[in-house]
Amino acid sequence: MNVTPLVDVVLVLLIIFMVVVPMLDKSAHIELPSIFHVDEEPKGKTDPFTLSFTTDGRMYFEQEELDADTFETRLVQALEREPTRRLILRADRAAPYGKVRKLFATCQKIGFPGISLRVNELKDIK
Amino acid sequence: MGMDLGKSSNKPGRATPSMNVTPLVDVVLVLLIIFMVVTPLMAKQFWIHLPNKPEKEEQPTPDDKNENVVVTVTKSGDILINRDVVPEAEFSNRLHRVLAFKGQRTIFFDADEEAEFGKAVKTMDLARGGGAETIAVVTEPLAR
Repeated sequence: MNVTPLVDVVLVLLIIFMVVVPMLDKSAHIELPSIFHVDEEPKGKTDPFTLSFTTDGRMYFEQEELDADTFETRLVQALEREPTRRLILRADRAAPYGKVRKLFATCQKIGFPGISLRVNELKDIK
Repeated sequence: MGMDLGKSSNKPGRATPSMNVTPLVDVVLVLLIIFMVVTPLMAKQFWIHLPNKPEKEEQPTPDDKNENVVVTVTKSGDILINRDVVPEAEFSNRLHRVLAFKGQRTIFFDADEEAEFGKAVKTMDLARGGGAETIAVVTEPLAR
């Protein structure tokens, strides 16, 4: 049996996959903060809404870029429709805290009990 | 535009060499599957609380008067427990003692508008290392 085309296809798929996966998650380039004490288990069972926040202050709801007002209405709708879904925030480590706090304030006002921060885990050197 | 690959080896009477690629395919497929499974699992999270606002007008902003522990990051990156500047290296231990003294497991966190988010998260991380189970962010700027 000539499997060479199969190998070709699979290798190409592998490469496409390796390239595309990090991009899928990145509507914009974001450097996540790295910390030691991450949550052992993610909060909330259902798949959360992803909010992204870049250094230059652009905000994304899932993949969509939105301004502050639309953002708020979108969050309100989201909570009404699916009250059990949580929020996860991907914010750039160089983003100014004031802007992030504004976002926290919005989420608090709408009634989210908390927010998960997306982080990279650093391993303890012991 | 062709490369000269030397003499063609299709001489009659010789078996054409062929490679057995099946194990390679196996390995690559397994890699692909491992990759598909592991990628979504790599994302880690850090949960912070957004304390509910009371119905009433004024929100009891945590400050020194009540017994809350407030951790603050200043513009220059200094860490404060309540009002005291604490060096980053001592912060975990110090917070541990403060929390033990007050018999609490909750801290309130705030950072300067211009502090870096990364620095803020790092401090929250240290705070969790110092025994703070619940980290609540203060969303209104604190009166200083």
